[in-house]
Amino acid sequence: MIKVEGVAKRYEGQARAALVQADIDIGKGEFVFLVGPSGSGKSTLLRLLTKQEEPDRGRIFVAGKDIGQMSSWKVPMLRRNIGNIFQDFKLLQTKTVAENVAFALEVIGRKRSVIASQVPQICSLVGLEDKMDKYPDQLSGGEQQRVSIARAFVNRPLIMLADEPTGNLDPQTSIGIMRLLDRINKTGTTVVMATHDRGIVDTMRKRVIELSHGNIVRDQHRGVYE
Amino acid sequence: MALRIDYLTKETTRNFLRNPALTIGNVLTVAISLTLLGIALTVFWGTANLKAEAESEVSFVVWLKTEDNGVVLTDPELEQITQDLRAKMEANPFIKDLNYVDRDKTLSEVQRYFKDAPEIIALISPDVVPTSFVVTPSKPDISIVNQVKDSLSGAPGIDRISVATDVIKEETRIASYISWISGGFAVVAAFAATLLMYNSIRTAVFARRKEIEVMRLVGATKWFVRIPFMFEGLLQGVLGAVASGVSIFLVNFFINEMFTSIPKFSTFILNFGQETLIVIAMLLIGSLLGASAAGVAVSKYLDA
Ligand SMILES: Nc1ncnc2c1ncn2[C@@H]1O[C@H](COP(=O)(O)OP(=O)(O)O)[C@@H](O)[C@H]1O
Ligand SMILES: [Mg+2]
Repeated sequence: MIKVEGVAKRYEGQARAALVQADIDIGKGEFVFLVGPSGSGKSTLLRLLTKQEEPDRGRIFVAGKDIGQMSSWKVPMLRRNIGNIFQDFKLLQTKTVAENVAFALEVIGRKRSVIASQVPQICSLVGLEDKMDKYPDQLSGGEQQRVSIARAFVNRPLIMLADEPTGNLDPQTSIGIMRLLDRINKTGTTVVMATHDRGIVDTMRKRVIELSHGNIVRDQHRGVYE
Repeated sequence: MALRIDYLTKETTRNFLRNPALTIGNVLTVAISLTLLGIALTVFWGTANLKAEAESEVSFVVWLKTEDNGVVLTDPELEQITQDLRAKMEANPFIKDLNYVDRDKTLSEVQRYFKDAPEIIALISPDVVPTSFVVTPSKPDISIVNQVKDSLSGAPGIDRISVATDVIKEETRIASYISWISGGFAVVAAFAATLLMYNSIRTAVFARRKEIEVMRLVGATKWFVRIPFMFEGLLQGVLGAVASGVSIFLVNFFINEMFTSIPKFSTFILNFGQETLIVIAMLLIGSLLGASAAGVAVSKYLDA
């Protein structure tokens, strides 16, 4: 599903490379933790997968396609197959829960009838059926992250990329979010999650890829944080 | 896949109402800068009207001989020459108007002209005062004037032809000067309008950069992101242009009030067709500027 071959990336004006050498192969339906200290290149790797950044060298395949060869007008199609969630949720404060979720369907031109049926369905999947008319600032952090998961998943993407989704949440709330991601993974969606959270990694026992200074230093099945 | 009309109207209405201060600010900015542009165009066109009027006053004087080889012409002889010339000139299609000035009129004009110098008047003997035709050509055009002048130059009985080209040149030169200045001002005003609109729309886009980021992230195409902003810019441009159109009509109304009573300036007044053309131009410029300024402003956030 995701194949990264000899990828390197250095940001302009930066002395050190964010990624020195990355080779990763992730199959369909896998659940992978990306661990490593802050600045080790986790977010950079995730952004390369959605073409928010371009690698300096190497090749990246998503769903069998070399995204380096992809023309720019096809990038939206790539992104429709990849759900993204973040530490800071990236919700639109002026829209309600339902509107935030619907937005993801509207901007890819889905029919109103499709939106009307999909939005309540996905909101109840993430456990927010009673809060659909609330605004993000009326919700707890965990609830906001559920909204962002709903928005990322409403398109039924092949891949879900999560960049420290529990970084702002307390341990109890984080468990709820991890259960949700696990359920999403069970539907066949490939999940890649960058995290700092030792407790989560150690309890879930999924594949762990560790980054250090832009290099992959460990790739372990049913791994732990360290 | 395609941009849906219901989505477009919903988003546009929402964005218009979400930040009314910004929306009103943008519309006012457009209105003010387009009004400046419209006023400049009004002055430009008004002076062009004045210039055309000045040129239409192009006429010249055909002086008739008072003697032939030192022999003073008799009245019947003069009468004959005058009639022949009049017939000749009336047949000329390039001559619009003929005005015969007889001795008495010429003399009284000379007396008026030299009223502070009686010694000069004393020198003039009434029977050598020449008669003349004031000729207005069909078109206020120097080349037509010269053509008419050339066609007459060989005719008997003509002493000389004096064309007030220098006076014409001076008047049209001043009118051109004013219209160039106001034209230049119009260009500057258009430039300022573009910058002001771009700047205020950029502020609006900046306020919504997060929304744009989310749209791109969930797979919206660039045009899908761009079009609602451009539509909003277009709408603001149109609203601003409508407001400026009203001001331009008002400005013209006041010019009308002020200038109708001043004979020299009454031709400055734009006719309704000219005013309407300026307002239509404002609408086109406003909508075009609004849409393209928004398009450019959004593109800045579409790189990723
Ligand atoms: N947009 C950027 N511009 C410049 N440097 C960046 C940018 N994003 C990340 N970096 C740098 O790249 C390196 C890796 O960062 P990042 O991928 O964010 O690591 P992590 O997510 O593991 O904390 C860091 O040194 C960081 O400072
Ligand atoms: Mg990071």
